[in-house]
Amino acid sequence: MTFIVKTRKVLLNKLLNRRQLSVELLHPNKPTPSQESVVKELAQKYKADERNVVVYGLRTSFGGNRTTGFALIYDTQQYLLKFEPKFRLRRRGIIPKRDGSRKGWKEVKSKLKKTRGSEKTKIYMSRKTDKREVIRAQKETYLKGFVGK
Amino acid sequence: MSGGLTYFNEDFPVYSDLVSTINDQLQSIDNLHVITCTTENKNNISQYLRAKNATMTKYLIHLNMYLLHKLNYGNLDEFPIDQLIEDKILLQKIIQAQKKLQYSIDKLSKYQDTQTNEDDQVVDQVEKLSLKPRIENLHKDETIDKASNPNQKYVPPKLAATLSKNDLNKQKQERREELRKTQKKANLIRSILDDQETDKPKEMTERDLQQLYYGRAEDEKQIEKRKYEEDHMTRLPTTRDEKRRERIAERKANVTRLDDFQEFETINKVLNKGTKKIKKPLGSKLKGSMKKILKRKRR
Repeated sequence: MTFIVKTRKVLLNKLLNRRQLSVELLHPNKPTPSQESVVKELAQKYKADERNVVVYGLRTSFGGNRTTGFALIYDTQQYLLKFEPKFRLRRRGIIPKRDGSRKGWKEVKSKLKKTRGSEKTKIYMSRKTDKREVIRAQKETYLKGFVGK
Repeated sequence: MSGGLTYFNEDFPVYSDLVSTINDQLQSIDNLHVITCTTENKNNISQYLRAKNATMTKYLIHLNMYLLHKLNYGNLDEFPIDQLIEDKILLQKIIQAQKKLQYSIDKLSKYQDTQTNEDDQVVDQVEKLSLKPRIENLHKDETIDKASNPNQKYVPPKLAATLSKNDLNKQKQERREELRKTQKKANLIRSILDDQETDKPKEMTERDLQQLYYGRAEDEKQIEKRKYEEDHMTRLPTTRDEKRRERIAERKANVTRLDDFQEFETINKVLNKGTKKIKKPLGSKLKGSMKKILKRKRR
């Protein structure tokens, strides 16, 4: 291990079935550690599955040697899929990433400004990639393939 | 015809009285002009008043002539009506401007009243003390009636010392200068003590700890931001000011002295050691469609 992990402000969130904590990493004369290494360390420390641990917001302070971030440790994978925002699920690969370019979305936006009523919703739904049913189906397929420890 | 003249004859005595008052005012203004010859500002005001009254009289005279002309069935084509209109417009503008000069006119009239003429002699010099404000003329508060509340006590107004903004800034500057002086002294003493090699451990002040722990001393705003982020488990975006400050701090941290260029030389040597200039292939700078065309040609 090339860095030291310190956890502060550990909070048990029963409503969302998870533990919330702020993480502090000390790595003198070394670059910032990767998210995967941090996830491993936290899973070991809190005796949880690595796949149920989410780390985000890692930021190194000025001068190096120290980074701060946040971590969420869910009870089960189902709660993770339920309560985690979509962009973080996309990062993990559970939901596939969005197709289409930024320019295309901007064109749709300009069209939306000119239309009103039912036509507006049609244009919007034609472009919208992450529909609710599709995401639900993707989550179910992921859960079927998930084998718990 | 005769009816018009009768109306004119009825109103004439009133009209003549008005004209005589205007003449009297003109005379008083002339006297004022003589009295106030010493100061420039008052001279202008008296001139203004004279001009105003002169135009009024001129306008009235012309009006009279017009009326008489009309009543006697005179030829109105020969009568200069444009001048009448000019005078009227002038008068209107003068009266509009008088609102702004009202204060100085009142002051002048007050000065005239206070002037003591011994045997009707004119005083040359202005006495500034005579133009003092009069507290008697202050409007009294009509809500507080002593008759209705005879037992009312006198409550003095609340006075509190207030600091102006300039004073606050001055205080801040003074504090900063004092801090700088003390820091300079402390640095000097520290450098002297460091030269003396001892086995004693060095004392870490709060600022040193902060610098060690957080990389550099934090401002109040940064501390607030950090606390908010930790409480809400989010990351706030970095603003342009923060980026600018970080860049400045980096520059300061890297440069110890202005005339110390050795560090840059060594850094440049280390960086450029063993590196060769890599030539970019042709067409690397091209963009878009031209790049595609080149690729096709190469194939």
